[in-house]
Amino acid sequence: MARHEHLRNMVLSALFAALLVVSGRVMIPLPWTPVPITLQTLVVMVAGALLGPWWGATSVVIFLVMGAAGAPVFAGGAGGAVVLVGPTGGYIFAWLVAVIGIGWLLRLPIGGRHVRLWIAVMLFGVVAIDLLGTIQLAAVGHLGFGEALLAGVVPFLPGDIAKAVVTVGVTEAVAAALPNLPGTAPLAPNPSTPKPQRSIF
Amino acid sequence: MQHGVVSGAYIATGSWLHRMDPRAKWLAVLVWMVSVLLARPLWGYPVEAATLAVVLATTRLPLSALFRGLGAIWWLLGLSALLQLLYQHGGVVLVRLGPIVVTSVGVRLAVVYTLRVVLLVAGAALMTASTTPLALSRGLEGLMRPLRRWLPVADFAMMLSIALRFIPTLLEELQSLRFAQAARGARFDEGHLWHRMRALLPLLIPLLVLSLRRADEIALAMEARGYGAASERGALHPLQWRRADTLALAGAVGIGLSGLLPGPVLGAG
Repeated sequence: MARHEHLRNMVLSALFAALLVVSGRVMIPLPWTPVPITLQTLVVMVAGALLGPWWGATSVVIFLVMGAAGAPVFAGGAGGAVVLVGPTGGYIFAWLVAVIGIGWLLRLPIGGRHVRLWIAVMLFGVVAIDLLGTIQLAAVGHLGFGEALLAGVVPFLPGDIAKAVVTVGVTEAVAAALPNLPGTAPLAPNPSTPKPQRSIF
Repeated sequence: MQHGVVSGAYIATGSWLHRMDPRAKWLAVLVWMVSVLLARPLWGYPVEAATLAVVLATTRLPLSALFRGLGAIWWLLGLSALLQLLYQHGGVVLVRLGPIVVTSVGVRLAVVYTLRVVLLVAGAALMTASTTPLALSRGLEGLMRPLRRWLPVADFAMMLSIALRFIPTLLEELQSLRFAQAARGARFDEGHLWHRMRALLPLLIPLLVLSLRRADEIALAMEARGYGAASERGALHPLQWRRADTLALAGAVGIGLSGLLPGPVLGAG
């Protein structure tokens, strides 16, 4: 049973890495900037909330390795390690911080799960990603911190906040449908409900 | 919506590059990246560009394969070149138009930075164009084998293969969910930001639930076939390091080193 659990979590992480790639293809053009937003940060936040810090981070690492190898997995079909060391790479490295932070905060025994989820997506999904991303943008792009904020965060902030809000809805809907994921299992909303039978073993 | 994102990067021509051991290709890409970063632009970049041209000519890969990886970076590349041009001052003033001053240092930095990114991307693109996703992950696994005492290298490679394998499947699923919603009258391409986001909810939730349910089935199937039962997984076609791989890797190192030579220095460095 424990091995099945481990295998299932491995596959979950792998599928979330694939979802990260797929969500990079769903683009929403913004009228005020030529760079469209994608749903990748949304999937990062959902991964942290549903898979927990360890398996969530694993899926982001798989994604990073695919990208570094040159597979066109980043937003808009970009690929290669150069994306990571380039001016916008910080926003992608920050996903690792965000996914671990969200998974970790959700496990803290403070307040209700719903409240923690809101705090986690805003704090790690929006603030941490934008802060770390801006630091690399300023450093690599030879820009001042203020200019970097103006170029890399301000145009995308409405989208980021909208994604965080949608994340909460998506996470709760999926957690309700599948109550025994690694990130949700220890804190299932109602422990008295019998665990659904998952395998014949 | 493109199909087979990752497998789409692979272009089968059956050349020497395709037959190379994927481990050698990973190492060569690493050497390539380091040498592009360290090269002296005036001498190293032409040598590296010539190398790309030779590889391209002998492997019958199309020129477009090199630049596919740039994607939306083209735009950023242009922007950063423009910023360098306008804000980096020094050397000789070339153009002065009111507040806009372009100096020789600005031009040099803009050109060098852009070329560096293009060369880096093109080198890595050669690997993904000539290697199947499965071979890529097996090559990585082979290289990380010495670490397997401390890290679950085989498990990681397995996860990498699963992820690569399921990208096209999930894309297809997303497409059919999109059609299903469109048939019910959903619009994804109008309204303002918030409406568009909301319209994606009926796509995202089923996509997540479907793929997470599938994880259970895949894990069960793997278990039924004895995954993890043997201490080490074998392979039907084990990777084989040939003399050609050593030669190609030595060539990559040679080209990398030649880019470090002083060469003709014309004020650049």
